[in-house]
Amino acid sequence: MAAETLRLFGAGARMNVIKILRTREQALAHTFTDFLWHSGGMLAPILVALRFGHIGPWPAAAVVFMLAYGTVVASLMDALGDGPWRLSQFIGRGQLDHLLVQPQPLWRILLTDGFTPLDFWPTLTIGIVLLVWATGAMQVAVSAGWLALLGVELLSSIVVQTAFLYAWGCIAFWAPRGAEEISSAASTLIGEVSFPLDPVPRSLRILLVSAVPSGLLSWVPSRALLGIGGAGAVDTWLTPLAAVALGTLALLLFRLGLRRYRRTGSTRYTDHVNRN
Amino acid sequence: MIGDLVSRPFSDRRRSASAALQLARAHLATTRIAAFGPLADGVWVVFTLALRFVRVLILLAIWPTLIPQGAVVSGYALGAVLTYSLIAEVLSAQLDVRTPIGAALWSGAIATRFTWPMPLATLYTAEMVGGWALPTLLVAVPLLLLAPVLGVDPRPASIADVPLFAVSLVLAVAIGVAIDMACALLVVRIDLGPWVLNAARNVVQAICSGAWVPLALLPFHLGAVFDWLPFASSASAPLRIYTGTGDPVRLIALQVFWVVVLVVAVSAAWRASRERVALYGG
Repeated sequence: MAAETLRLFGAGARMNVIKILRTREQALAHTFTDFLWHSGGMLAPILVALRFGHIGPWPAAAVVFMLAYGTVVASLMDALGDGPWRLSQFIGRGQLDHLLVQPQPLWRILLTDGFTPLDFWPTLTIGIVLLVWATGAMQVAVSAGWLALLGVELLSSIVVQTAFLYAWGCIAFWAPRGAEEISSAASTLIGEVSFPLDPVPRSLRILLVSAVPSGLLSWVPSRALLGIGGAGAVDTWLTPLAAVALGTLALLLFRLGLRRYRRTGSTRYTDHVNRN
Repeated sequence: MIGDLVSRPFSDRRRSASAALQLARAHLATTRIAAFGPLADGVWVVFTLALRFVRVLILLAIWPTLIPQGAVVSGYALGAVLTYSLIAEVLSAQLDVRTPIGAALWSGAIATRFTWPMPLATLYTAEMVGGWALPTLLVAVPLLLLAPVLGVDPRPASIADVPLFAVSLVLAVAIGVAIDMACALLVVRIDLGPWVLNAARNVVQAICSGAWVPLALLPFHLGAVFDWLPFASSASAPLRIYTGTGDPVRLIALQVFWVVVLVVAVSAAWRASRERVALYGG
C-alpha cells in the first residue's frame, strides 16, 4: 500500500520535472510568481515588526518565525497539489467520475494527484531558512522533543487547512453549482492571518481559531513552539486536536456526499440533459 | 472637445454633442452592468467582502500595541494611524486600482471589446467603477458607520483639506488606471501572464504604496524613498491629506507630475503596441 502510494508520488515528481524542462520560461514564471506571492505576503508584517521591534508580546524574530511557519505550511500544501482547492470543481462538474474509474482507491488518488514538489522549492527554502534563523534569534532550546512538536504542529496545520477546504468543497455533493463560489470564498478566508492575533478582540480570535481556523495555520502553533504570551498546554494541543476534529468532520461529510454521488452523480448538467 | 464644439457650425455641433452624449450613456450603461457583476455568482461574494472586515479589525487591534496613546511616531499619533487604516480599507478599491483589462487580454475577452464604440481605457475604467458599487455599499459604508464602535474617528483631520483630498483621490485613481494600463502593456509586449503581474503588484502595493501601512512607519527610511514613486501617489497621498500627515500642495503637485508622465508614456506605448495584441482565449 505504502509502496504504491510512494510510486504515485514519484510519478508526480517525474511529471513535474518533465513539465519544467518542456516549458522552461513558463515554469520559471510560475515559480517566481509563487515565490513573490508568499515572500511578499511576509514582507510587510516583517517590516512593521522590524520598525517597532515587536508586535504586541511578539518580538520581531518571533513574528518572523510565525510568518516563516505559515510559509512552510503554505508551500507544503501547494506541493501536495491543488486538489483540496479544486474538490468542489471535481464533484460539481462530475469530474469525480474520472477519479472513480481509475484503478486506485479514491483516497490514494486524492492524496497523490497534482503532487508538484519542484514548483515550490524557493518558497519552501525561504520559509525554512527564516524558521531556522528565527529559532536561533529567539534562543529556543532545540531538542528532539521540540523538533517532534514542530513536526506535529506542521502536520496538524496542513491537516486543518486540508480538512477545512474539503469540508467546504463537499458542499458540491449537494449544491454542485454554488459550491465552487462557496469553496473559493472559504479558501480566501482561511489564508488571511499575517499578524499575531494576541491584541485582536477575543471574539474575533475565537472565530479565527474555530469557524475560520486561520489562526491554527501559524499563530497558535508558533505561540506554542516559542512559548509566547503565556502559551500553555491549550496552545500546544489546540492545533492537533482541531486537526483530528476537522479531519473527522471532513471525512464524514465526504463519505455522506460520496454515498449520494454514487446514486445521482453530478446534477449540475441535468438541465442540459447530459454533460457529455 | 468643448473647443471643437464652439468653433464648428451649429449642425456639426449638434452632431458632436449628440455623439458625446451617446458616449457618456454607453459608459454609464457599462458601469451599471458591471455594478451587478459581483452578484452573478450569488450571495457568496459576501464571504470575500467579510474578509475585508477581518483584515481591518486585525490592523486596528495591532496599532495600539505599537503606538502608545499620546505618543507620536514619525508624525503619526495613534488616532491618525487608526483613521489612516480605516480610510485605507474604506477606499481600498480606489487606492489599488485594477481594471479587468489584463485578464481580458489573457482570456481573449478583449476581442469583443475592440468592436465596442468606446475607447478601450475608458471602457475598462467604466467597468471598474461599476465594480466598486457593491463593496462600497456592503463594506465601505458600514465601516464608516461602525468607526466609532471600533474606536476610530473617521473624520478628516481638517475640513478645509477635504476638497484637496477629493482632488488627490481623483488623481490617485488616474495614476492607478495608468499603472494598470502599463501592466496590461507588459502582458502584450512580453507575454506575461496577468497572475504573474498581480503577484508582483500585490507585493508592491503592500509595501511601496502606503495603502496598508503608512510609509513613514516603515524601517530603514524606506518610506522616504517610496514617497517619490508613483505607487505612493496612487494611495498614500490622499490618505496623508485626509489624516493631516502630509503637505497637500507638495503631494498633489507630485501626483499631477505622475499623471502627466504616466498618461503620456502609457498612451504612446499603447499606440506602439496595439498591433501586437494577440489573443489566446479558450
